[in-house]
Amino acid sequence: MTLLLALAILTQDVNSKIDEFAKTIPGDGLAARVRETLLSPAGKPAIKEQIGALTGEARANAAKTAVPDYFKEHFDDEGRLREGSKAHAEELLRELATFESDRKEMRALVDAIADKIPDEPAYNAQVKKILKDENGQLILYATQLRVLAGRDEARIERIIKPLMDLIFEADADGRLVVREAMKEKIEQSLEERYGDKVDRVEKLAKSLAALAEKIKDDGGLNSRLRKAFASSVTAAAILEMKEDVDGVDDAFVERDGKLVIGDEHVETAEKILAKAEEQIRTAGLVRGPMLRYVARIKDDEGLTGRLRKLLSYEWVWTRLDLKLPAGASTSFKEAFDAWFRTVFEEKDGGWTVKEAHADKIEDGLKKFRREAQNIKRGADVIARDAKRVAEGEPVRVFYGCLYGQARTAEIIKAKVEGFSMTDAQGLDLWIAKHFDNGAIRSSSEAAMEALIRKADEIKKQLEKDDIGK
Amino acid sequence: MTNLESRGRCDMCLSRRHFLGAGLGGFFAYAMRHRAGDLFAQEGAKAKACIVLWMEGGPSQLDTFDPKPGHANGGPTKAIETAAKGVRIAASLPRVAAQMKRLSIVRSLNSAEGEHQRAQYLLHTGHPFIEGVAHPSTGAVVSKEAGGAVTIPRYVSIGQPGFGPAFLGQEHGPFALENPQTALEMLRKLDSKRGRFQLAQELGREFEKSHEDGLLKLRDGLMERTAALLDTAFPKAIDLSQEPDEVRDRYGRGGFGAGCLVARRLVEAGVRFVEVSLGGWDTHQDNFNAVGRLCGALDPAFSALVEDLEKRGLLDSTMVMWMGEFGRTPAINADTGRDHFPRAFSAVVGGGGLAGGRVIGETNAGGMEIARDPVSVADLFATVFDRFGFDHAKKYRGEGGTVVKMTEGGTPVKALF
Amino acid sequence: MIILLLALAQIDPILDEVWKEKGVAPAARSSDAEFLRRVTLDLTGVIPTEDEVRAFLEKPDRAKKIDGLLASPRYAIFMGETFATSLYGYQAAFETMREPLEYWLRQQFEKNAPYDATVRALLTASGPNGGGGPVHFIGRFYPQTGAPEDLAAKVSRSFLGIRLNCARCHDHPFEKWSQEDFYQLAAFFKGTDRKYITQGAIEIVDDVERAKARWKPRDYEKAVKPRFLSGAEPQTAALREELALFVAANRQFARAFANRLWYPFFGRGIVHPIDNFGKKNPPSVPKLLEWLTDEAIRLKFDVKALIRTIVTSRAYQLTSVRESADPERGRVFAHQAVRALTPEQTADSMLRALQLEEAVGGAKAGSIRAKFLQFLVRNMLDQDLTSVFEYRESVQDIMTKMTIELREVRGKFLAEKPSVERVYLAVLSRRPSAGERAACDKFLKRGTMEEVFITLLNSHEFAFNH
Repeated sequence: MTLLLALAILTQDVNSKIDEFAKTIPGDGLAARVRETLLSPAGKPAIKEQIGALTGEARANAAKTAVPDYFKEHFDDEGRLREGSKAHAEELLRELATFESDRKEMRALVDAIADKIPDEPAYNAQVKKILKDENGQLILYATQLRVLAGRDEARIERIIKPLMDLIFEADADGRLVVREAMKEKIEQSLEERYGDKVDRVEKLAKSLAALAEKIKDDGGLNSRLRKAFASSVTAAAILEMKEDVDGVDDAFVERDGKLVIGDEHVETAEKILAKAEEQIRTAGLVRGPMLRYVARIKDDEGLTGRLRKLLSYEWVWTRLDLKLPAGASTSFKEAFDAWFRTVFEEKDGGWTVKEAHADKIEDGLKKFRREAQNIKRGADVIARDAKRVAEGEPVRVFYGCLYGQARTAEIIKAKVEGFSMTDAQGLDLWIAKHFDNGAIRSSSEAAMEALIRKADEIKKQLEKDDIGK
Repeated sequence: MTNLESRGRCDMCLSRRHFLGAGLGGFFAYAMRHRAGDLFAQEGAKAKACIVLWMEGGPSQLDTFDPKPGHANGGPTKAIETAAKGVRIAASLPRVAAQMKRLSIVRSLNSAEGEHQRAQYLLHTGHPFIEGVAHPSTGAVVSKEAGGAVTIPRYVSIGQPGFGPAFLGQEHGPFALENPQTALEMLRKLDSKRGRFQLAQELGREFEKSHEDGLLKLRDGLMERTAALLDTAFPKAIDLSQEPDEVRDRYGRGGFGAGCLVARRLVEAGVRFVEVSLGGWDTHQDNFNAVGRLCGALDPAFSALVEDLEKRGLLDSTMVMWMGEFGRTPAINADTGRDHFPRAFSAVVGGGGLAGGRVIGETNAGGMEIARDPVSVADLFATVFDRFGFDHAKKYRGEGGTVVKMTEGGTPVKALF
Repeated sequence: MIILLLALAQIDPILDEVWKEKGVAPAARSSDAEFLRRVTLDLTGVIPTEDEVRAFLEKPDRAKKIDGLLASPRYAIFMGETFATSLYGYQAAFETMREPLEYWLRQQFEKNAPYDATVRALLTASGPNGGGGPVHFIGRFYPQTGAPEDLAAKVSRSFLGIRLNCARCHDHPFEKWSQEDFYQLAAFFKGTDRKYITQGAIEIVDDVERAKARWKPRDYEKAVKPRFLSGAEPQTAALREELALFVAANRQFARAFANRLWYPFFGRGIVHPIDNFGKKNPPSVPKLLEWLTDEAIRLKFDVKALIRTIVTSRAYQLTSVRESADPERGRVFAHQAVRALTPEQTADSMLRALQLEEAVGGAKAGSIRAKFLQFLVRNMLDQDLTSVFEYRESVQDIMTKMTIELREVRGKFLAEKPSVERVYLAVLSRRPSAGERAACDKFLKRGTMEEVFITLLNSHEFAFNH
């Protein structure tokens, strides 16, 4: 019973909050009229309209001061990193390091193929120019390759979060537990989709892992098998293709003391690898965010605990139907290749922009240039405010380079777009604006009169006919 | 029971053909034209049954029946010649290609609905979904208009629950066969427990006598029909062990192939409307591999069905339709997939008085627009109902005084006759 | 004096008057067994247990039983189920789900929230669907920003009992509603934005700018401003807030509510179907409807209190026994009705008769129930279920129930070698008549008790409420 009451308080709707506040307004005259109005049904839309205007204002203001607010949030007046922002700064530096190494790899990859791109037609030359240009590479990385290479964990989190929100809620200790509303459905889903699968996958995964040790690392198919067998994802993929999997060992023959795949099983092995490798890539992409979520799930004896265990398996992640960006992979080289192949096709021993893109390339290049300009502009704004960061701070180098500036602008933009105020917060804002220690501010008298007038008009509307007659 | 006989009992029918064809002269005229033996559509040839091959998810038209190998949008899909002169379809459907003399392609089908549930509703009822207005499914309409007492289920849905009969009555609703094998086992079990029906009647006598009510009578009818089901041709029809292995192999041993074979048998047993589902066509990703796999199941089953119906002399009276809720974007997306595209998509029809070997309508070079002769969903259904001899503009009295037309302003596509 | 009389006027005096007028003889009072099964099904969605039947037949305190059932946790669960079916259906759609809505409704019934507060919350629901309850109702009927036609139609039917959707394409054929009325109601949602976040995740947000902007519906010739059916017009940009007010303050809302609450207990509303108020569909007992409406308002939309008023009436407790069907008598509630069970009532009652939970434990019973329910609703997925208690059984349902396997329960109930009396008590919630006893004994000479058991599970008497 107490839990129920507690829940009731947590989800108390804003109308009751308005009533609660109204009851505390002391005095006669205007105050009494405001109190009466707020307590009436007609007063609720009237105040909500005023609250709506305030939250709209707040959102617009937040956007205006977003950049200086960011630096104020993370750095004190002397430009030193605040204690609570240490983790954020560390993350930025990690990102920068990844970028540096990725960029090095990108330079090498581009150098290797740039000569194979002819200069005709003209758009080939234009795209080649962007690829070879340092800023061009940076923009390409920031806008596309980062995501494809799984560097943008925030993006992945945004895809996973809605699913988690649907299933879990935070308990009093902040741990995630399965929502009461979803318990029955989850139980059913678990039984239907997983049932005894978990045990079977675990069993097969164990035997495959043991087998993997004995497989020859020949740099070819066998190496791929060796690598794939080390992941439970492969076991799950195999079980999906065949119901019974006795005798995986039998598909291998001994050669020089190690195992290699038998010739007649090569085709099957290729099929399995095609599936498994893609799923391993997907699992790699979501590993960071998923493991972070799992860590927050309560480890109890019931449904929540079971779900926690299930969600800690890599192979389960690939079955969650997450719409991840295609071609994504945690290997930069693979991501770059995947991107490259969507733009270019092989021709006469070289690479040329795909014919299918021919009529869109003009617009595409224009768009790219525009994006580059926007990024530069945003970066300049950051660079200005970043000057206040103290010289000795390690994270200063992040804000000092174009990449870091561009990324900071993106982070701030996302925050602004995600601005939302609950009804309750809006009410608090309204109370703060119009009341001072329970009394109506003199500057707010007009607003209060407008509120009462609106409510009266609504009341008049309520007196209209019984429509069922 | 001929169509004319059954129509005589249906007092809600307003078919013009009925008035014209009444009397012996009309019957003779019908019979003589039939003897003319023309493979193609004849004036007055009536469909008795319909088999719908339902491609759930929205099948890609550019990779099946409207290939564009010369255009970038066509992707890697190649086209092949078919038995119908000048008609080419995707290379992944060679056996269907051999049957194209009996099938016509509508390449200019279009609708405004790009969302799965609403589009599925549209393609199963012929009406756009409107909250609060119930429309009967085409299967229910065919079941109802066929007239007479319902013994064997008239509308069977294989692989999907099917769409409801709305105000036409529960007996015209879909009999859903998730899996013919399980249904057969259940029928066998029911057969062994027939005694329960009698016992139920005996033990329920006192209650029934003291509770005179329409609902009880309804349920009596339901129980009777359930028991009677055992003595109809239905149980045998869904028993595929009755078919030789080579036939089962020709259709394909998967769920869809078996479903098509069951559909043929059901039509032979007197079922009027059978829908067989093949799902997985919602190829937003990896379109070409997925479609390739699906065609691997579709090609043998579809072709075997058409060929079989023809061999058994059923094709003239059995309409066959291949369709999904919409098509897919000609432009290939970043995931090597295609997205929803109701603007111009394809359906394939044949049998039941419809011409074969034709192509109705055309899309432009890239498949993005209809180049000529658009066909709406209502038009398509008007064509179907017309071949059944129903008045496709007939009005039903729905619930609460709503008026529901059989089709909403559709015109039969004469080019298919 | 008159006011006092009005306050005292209740269901039974009104009906007595009507019956006298029409020369209709009311049925007798229900037997105790009949009453127990009926009220247990109506208030908790399941038949009583064998023990409950025995206990009640020994000490038939009807008022106490009613109070007990209303106080049981099953009450809120059952109410949540039936309202979720009526408001949402069984098919998930447009990135929303039934479960969170059902759960929220259950909580509303658990704390006996006033009905008007529940409806206001439904109409003004906003936020992300993850963690939301009533927002799933809005999202379900609002597939796209700027296309609130389906939502308006559903709101009008569900909360006002008016089929305004008939006026969607043209003026209503025979009621007074015009096409403009329909779109002016829909216009209350023009400020509502349905945001697509990612697959499975949406957010419903009200936007002040959009609320103030001009709105021209896709299928209507001109732009429309929001205007409620009563003529009330919104004065702020908080359109949905005002709509909720206009709806809940209107007498038709109270009328539709009273009628909706009457419907499950009698198998038909005083206006039937419950979403079709209009001149062509007048109430069968107008005075009763108006009194019930007054009572609903007086009780400030207290759901439990109104239900208690209904089920403690003599009319509710009449027998459903009648030798001949006379629709006139049924329309004026001169006898109780044979009425359909919901899929949940069917599933829960069958499993209770089988004493499944005792046999296999709670968790397994829950999973069996879920599967059985899934089967029972499979042919209702595309149907409109505003009227929850209509008969929807199919040949396949009969087939499945007739061939039910009792593997799991054979080890418990049937292993106890129950008598014919026990089987009747467990399945039909009553003792067998002498004739039935004889028929069973005769059958048992060559048949098994299991056969009797399954046959009774498939009887008309079990399949309906009466």
